[in-house]
Amino acid sequence: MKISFNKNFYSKKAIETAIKDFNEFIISFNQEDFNLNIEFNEEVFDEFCNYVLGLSLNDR
Amino acid sequence: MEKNIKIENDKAVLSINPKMYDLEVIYSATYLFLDKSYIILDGDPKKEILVKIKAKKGKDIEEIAHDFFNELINYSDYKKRADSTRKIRELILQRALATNDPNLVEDDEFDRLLKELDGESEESDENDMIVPWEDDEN
Repeated sequence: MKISFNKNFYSKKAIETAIKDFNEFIISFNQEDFNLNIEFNEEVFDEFCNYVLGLSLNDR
Repeated sequence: MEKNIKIENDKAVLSINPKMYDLEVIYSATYLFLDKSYIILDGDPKKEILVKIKAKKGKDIEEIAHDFFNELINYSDYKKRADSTRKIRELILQRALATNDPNLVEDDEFDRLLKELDGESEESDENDMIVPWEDDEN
């Protein structure tokens, strides 16, 4: 799945932390700044996006 | 309001005018809805903020979308009140922290507020002070 996080609202640190924390669900990923192409072994994409948003809001 | 809410199946896109709602207010409302829905923030923080919401299982997306706008108003009011009472809250806290150490009290404004709170005025002098009766006998 591809997602481009809006850099006005998300932090790169939050994306990187979420990738680490969701490591066990991730089959492969390719991150370029705020653009992320990620493949999960379960349907956790929505949870992942929420997690990134939660971390980004906490960072503010 | 309906033009600001677009609903399709279990998803909704909310269009928010950042001139009406502060960005911090939008963040607060977003944070509140993370447990009921999946949210993605998008758009331009200066022109139009898009809140893309997908309802979690068992949740009504229409209700969530409308409640989100209610929370924007709720947090806007809270922020306005918090801003208008910030100074007095800071002074109260400062006083509470300085209660046990009067040497920390240096701020003129704080002194003025203390006098106001104690019902004192600039005209009061030492003669107004209450003297314990034991002192009279000495």
